[in-house]
Amino acid sequence: MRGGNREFVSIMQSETNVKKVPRLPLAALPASAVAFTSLALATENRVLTGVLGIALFATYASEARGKSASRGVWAARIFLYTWVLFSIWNRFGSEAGDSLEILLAFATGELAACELVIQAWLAKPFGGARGAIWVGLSCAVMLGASNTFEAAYIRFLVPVFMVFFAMSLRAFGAPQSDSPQTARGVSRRGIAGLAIVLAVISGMSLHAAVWGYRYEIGQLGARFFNETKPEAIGLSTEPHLGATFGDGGSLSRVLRLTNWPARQSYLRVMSFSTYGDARWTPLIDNRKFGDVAPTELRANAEGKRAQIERLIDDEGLMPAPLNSAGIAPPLNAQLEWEQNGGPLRSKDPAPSPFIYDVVLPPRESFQGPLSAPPTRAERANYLKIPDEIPSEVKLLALKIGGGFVDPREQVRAVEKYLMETHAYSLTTKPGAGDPTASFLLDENKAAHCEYFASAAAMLLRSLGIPTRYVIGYYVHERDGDATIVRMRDAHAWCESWIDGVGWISVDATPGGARPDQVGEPIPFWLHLRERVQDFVMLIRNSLAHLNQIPRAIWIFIGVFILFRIVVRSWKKRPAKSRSFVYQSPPQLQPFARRFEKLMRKRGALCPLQKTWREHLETLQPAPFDIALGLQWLRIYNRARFASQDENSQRADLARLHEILRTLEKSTSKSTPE
Amino acid sequence: MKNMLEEIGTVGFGESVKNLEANLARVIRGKDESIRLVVISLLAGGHTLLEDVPGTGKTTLAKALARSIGGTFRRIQFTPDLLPADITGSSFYRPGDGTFEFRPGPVFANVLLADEINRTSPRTQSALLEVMGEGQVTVEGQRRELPRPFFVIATQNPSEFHGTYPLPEAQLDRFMIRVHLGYPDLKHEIEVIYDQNQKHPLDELQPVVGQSEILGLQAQVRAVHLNEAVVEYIVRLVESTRSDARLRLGISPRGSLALARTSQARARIAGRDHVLPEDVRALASPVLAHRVLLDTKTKYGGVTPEKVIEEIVERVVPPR
Repeated sequence: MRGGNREFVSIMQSETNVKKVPRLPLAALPASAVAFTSLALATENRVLTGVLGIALFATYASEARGKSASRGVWAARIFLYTWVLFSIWNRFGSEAGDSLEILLAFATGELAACELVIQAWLAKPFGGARGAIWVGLSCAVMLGASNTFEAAYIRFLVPVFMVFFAMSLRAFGAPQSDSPQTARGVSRRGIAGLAIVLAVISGMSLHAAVWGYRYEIGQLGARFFNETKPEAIGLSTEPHLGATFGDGGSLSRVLRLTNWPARQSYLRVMSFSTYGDARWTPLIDNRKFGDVAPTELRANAEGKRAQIERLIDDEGLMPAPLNSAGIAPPLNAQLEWEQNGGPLRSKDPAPSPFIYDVVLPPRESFQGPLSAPPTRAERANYLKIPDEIPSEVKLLALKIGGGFVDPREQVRAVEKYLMETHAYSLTTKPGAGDPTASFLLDENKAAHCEYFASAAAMLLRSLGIPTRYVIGYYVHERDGDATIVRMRDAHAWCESWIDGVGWISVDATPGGARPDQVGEPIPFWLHLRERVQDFVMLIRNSLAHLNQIPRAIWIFIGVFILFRIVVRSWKKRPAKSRSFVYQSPPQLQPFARRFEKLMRKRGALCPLQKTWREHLETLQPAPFDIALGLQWLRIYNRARFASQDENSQRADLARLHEILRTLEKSTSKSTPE
Repeated sequence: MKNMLEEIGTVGFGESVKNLEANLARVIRGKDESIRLVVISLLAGGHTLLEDVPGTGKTTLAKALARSIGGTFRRIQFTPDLLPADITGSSFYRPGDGTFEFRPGPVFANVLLADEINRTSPRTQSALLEVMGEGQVTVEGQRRELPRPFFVIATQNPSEFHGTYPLPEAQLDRFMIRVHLGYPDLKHEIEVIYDQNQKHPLDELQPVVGQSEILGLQAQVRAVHLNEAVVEYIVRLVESTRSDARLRLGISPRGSLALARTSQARARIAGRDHVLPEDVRALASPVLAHRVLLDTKTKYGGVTPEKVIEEIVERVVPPR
């Protein structure tokens, strides 16, 4: 173009300057407003941030613009940058508490804010590259603000920013030819690079927000998915003979067992030696726990194995059968126990999911790591009867079991007596004096398992059999391949030491009246909810295996893919949504629809950007008789585009209908001749 | 509309066009599409610009067309030293009776062949603005009408060639259609050599359509029905050239008018009394491409205006 022409062109352009410029997406404005607010909350340069924020929006509203090369712009830039860096430097010198990292985050945010204002003043941002610069710098401001860890409430602003940011993504997705993005200086590749940077930045902001909230999110999840708190469960580690048993049986799941044999019904948690004041002690806090090695638990013992998955971290306790041949803890788990039948538990932090193996006993009376013989002192403890138990109890015991020599027969006799003479009830009325004695001696007393277990223990101790009180779960609910243990399955029973045999379980509670059988059947919605819980648990468990850096990388990748999808979908959206689509006159619309449908059915849908005729002529093989199709099209076009009187139009419509019917009926895919 | 067509008489239209095209095809071999475009331009009442490298038959086609139409024919060979007055004409002093006499320039003709129009200076090129736009000449303050029909057929070499001045945009805009001839294929080039072995077929060409016949044909073209949707489609096409990032200058309303008129001509030649979107789509490139200015980057990226227009045509949804 020569000199003279250029002037002419510029005149022509100003005269015909009707180019539609896509505007900056509206969402970008609140996005930068949120970013500036965050920065103002985080930084101590409040005046600067405030002035910049006001300047930014004033610039956007006003028409005045600067020149990119002007010295004034550079002077302002240098002044602002010096201000930011100087104030940061001052703070670094004076306040030892501030780490360099935080100050760098401040500096990045503030410098980005300065540049954003300058860029906005140089050229009003529109869609495309300029919009991308605007939103990108807003992201940098947000990133600076959100990574200072100064003000916790910025975390609330990050999601808001993310929403607006996502909404303004449209700016980058605008097709090349519809926006002036490539008009000046910024190449397509530059925009792609910028988009990647933005995705990374936004991923980092999001990650900062999620990371800041991680405990709240975890608690929220725990509250939502576990309806009862661990304190309110049926199994209490402080057994106390009260009016009711636990909370009456919550349906929350405690354990999930796999490969569990049906006969193995008792899962013990811990045992108690001392009875007094209607409670069993010692309390869990007063016990002496010591580290336990897998060898002590015989983790490698041979035999069939069952898996126990802990669904609730109930003080880290690990239920297991008394006669387990061995227990294999999960990898990375630190265990401790109270020796000699005391509770086994995991130390914090326990790996998640917490699944441990139990080596099943080869026979019922097998003595495993949990059934170590009692020491002399323990033996004495297991025979102790407190003073509040009246001597009538001992007399009763002798009456029941005195006639047998074999202690095993004495045990059976006590079980039989309690089952036959006492009824089961989840609630009971404690009588005068000691509840166990009252339960045993009063007429027609009904009570729950804790009373039966305590009574059995007192009777057996009276007969000279060392007995301890045990709490745990009664296992019975099959769920497909797995076995489920719920809070309501909590149970109490006894264990007696028989010389020459070992520890045996003694359950004197009437069989048909266990808490699980009093409880109602599991409603179906609970099953449904449990499936969701399992799914969430699966995700949480798999997330738990990642540490922070891979997690951050995954979030970047996720956000980036999301971003690409948004851009792609915007680009690929059919012209229908971006361009205008013509409506044919109402009397022709049914024909047009039928014709489209016919072509679609024959696998030859015409793209919107083509005319039917062009499309038909290029089709190979023809979807129907092309000659007839073209004839139909000729008539359609005449009715559509020519000016006709009513009669001829009516004739055309009738003809259209006729030909279309022939076409629709024709099945053969004849080729044009 | 239909009534109007009947009054003018449809009989003869197809035949006239057929004769005209056959006449031209005798001289220009294997270029039926280019010939059709030139005829469309003539029937639409617009001027034609033939652009291509030297030796492809631009001047021959222009001359053939001029000869095929009855009426006066003039030719101007544009040279760098040509002055505006050489085109429009000027007044001469008559010593006998002491008066000035206007001697009309070569533009006073029915068919004007402006050969190698871009070899002259922009000043002289601009002298054609009024002539082509309004069909009149103003010399020494006096307005003089040109005869009807008035048809300019200009030829030019691509502007990158030596010794050429690019036509001003305003001038380019006044050409209804720009036609590229291109090289003939093997078979047709052999024919050309045999044709011109003894004598040039141009010498034997006889007029096949008369001056008044052309006016009648043009009136018939104007009577072709333009549906609202089609007009809207034309405007939408033109509008999207104005907002296209690759174009520094979009299409003016004159461009949309030209597209509408040529579409009418194409429809009429096809024997229809109404314009279809296909007409518009087929003519968009020859009618619009020479009116746009490419963005510098796009231009050096090897994209031609024709390609940009074709892409726009592929993008804008036509009415159905």
